Amino acid sequence: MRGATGRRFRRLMLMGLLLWGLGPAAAGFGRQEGGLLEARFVPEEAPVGGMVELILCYRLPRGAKLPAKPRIQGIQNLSVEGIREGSGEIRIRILVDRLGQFKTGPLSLAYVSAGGKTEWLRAEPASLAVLSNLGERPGEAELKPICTIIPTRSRLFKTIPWILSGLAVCAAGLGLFFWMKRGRHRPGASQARVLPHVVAEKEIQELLSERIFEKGHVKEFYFRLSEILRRYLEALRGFPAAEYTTQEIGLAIRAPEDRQLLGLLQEADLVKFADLCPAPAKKNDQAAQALQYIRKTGPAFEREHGPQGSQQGRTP
Amino acid sequence: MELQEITQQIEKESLVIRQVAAAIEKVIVGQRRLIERMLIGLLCDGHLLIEGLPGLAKTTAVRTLAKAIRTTFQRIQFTPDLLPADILGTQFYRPDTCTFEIRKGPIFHNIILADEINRAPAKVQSALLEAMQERQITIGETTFPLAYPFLVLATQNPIEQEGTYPLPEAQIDRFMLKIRVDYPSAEEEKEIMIRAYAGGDREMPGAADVERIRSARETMKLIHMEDRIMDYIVRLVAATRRPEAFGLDIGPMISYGASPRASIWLGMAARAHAFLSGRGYVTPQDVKSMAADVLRHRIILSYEAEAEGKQTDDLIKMALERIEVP
Repeated sequence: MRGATGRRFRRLMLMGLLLWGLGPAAAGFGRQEGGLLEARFVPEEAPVGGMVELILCYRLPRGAKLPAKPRIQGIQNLSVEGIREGSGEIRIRILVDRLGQFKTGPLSLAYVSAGGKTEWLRAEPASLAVLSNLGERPGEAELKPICTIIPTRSRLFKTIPWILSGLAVCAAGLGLFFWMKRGRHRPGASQARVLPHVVAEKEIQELLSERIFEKGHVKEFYFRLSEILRRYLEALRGFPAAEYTTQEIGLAIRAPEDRQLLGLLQEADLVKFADLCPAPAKKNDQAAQALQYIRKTGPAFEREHGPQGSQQGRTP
Repeated sequence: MELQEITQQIEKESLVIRQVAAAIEKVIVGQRRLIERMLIGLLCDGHLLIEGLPGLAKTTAVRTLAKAIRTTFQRIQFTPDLLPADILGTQFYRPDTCTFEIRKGPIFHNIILADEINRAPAKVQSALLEAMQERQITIGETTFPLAYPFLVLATQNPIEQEGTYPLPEAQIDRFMLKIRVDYPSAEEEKEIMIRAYAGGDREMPGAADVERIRSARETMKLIHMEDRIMDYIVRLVAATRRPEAFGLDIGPMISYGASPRASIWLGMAARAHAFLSGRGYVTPQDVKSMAADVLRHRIILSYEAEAEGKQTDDLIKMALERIEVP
């Protein structure tokens, strides 16, 4: 009986001793044995591009000291410009380099304890309210375009052609579908579009039938004839002949048969700008030459491009 | 007078001007465009603004033009410390006679080369440009008419804008043409080297005199310009003011379009171009050939155009490609 009581007493003594030995260590792990670390930004809000200070106020446990170069964790993701030590505080200069959330990580400051071990003081992350430089309503601010730096056209402009192209393809597909559907019911519908040589020939015939040359409006006749031929050339060859001078047309034409037309345009220029008055026979000859050119090039053009004609240029 | 007679007269008169051009070309290698534009300026009595890098024979070309037409030449180097009196002249007191005397400035010559005009402050530029417009100078209480012919060719360096005084838009409008001088071709440059090594100034006899220039100017007025050509010029100039009305998508790139002075000068320049070609009538090609030189300095680009790296020449080209010729 006495032996059992003695064993129980010894066990209790042993447990008491264990608790007495472990107690301080366990308490030091949770409470940092009197150490303290607090962090805050000064000022508490700043615009992008501004400088702020992160102030770490600390109190070290008795006998502890900071290492020669302070070791701080939790500020690795920030742009640190400089660190200054003071009594009981460390001031870290930081550049505010982003919009939105500006926050440190969980902060820790290393120190050397009285026993010579490296320990850490810990603090909650500190955050800063970032202000916009674009005024009170940044959403309404407009960036001025700068070549190669800020796009001179909005992104919408870049996507609009794609959207329009997509819509155009859909519309073309639908159009083709309905056209084919109608074509089946209406034979000869493919002939609806008038070919440029047909239009040009018709316009020249109309011009001749109006007899404006015979009525004395010589220049008017040549201005109109020249315009018809230029528009025909534009539809035929695909370059903007209506905006070209005769000299420029001369440089643009490649086909040998077009040389005949160039001569005709040069003669028309003399009437239009140099007050030259050709004889009626000459006028008839020139009109016949124009018709001959159209009849010569038109069918060849039709064979090449099909009955739909060229998609380039404007229809005369 | 019949157009045929006019054409004959023009052929005769333009031959003299072509001889002047040939005389200049004996001294200046290449730069045919510059020479042609200088003669157009001379024929139209319009002043020229020449823009080009240093060493492109701008000064030599102007000096040679003066020699070729047997007139006096004066080069004025514009600097930041230049004063209006240094150009126009001044009144000074003579103690021995107790009177004021007038000393005329370098502007009293026929051909003036205002070298690097944008290096002088606004008051000097303004004094010169006023003289260019009025063709007379008042010193003290006396008004002096300027020489005949009186032609100012001002140069500008397109680089090194630091420390310069850019010409105001209103002043720049007084120049008939703004000519861009480019580098010579490889063959031309080789010829320039050969001539430079040979050394010595090439002596050149005059190819015409003031009276021939006066006569050529009078004949040029006879050149026929069809009504529709004038309409074409008006449309071209209007397209720089209201591009959207002509289906041009360049509206946001232009702050201010060309003034009516542009239409006047474009018509005159087209006439002179026809004259140099020995023609008695103007064609749309004459207008197109001169359009860039007449309009280039009269279109004020917007911030957007500058941000996109567009130049006035690009916009003029677009207008020329869009507007139908008569």
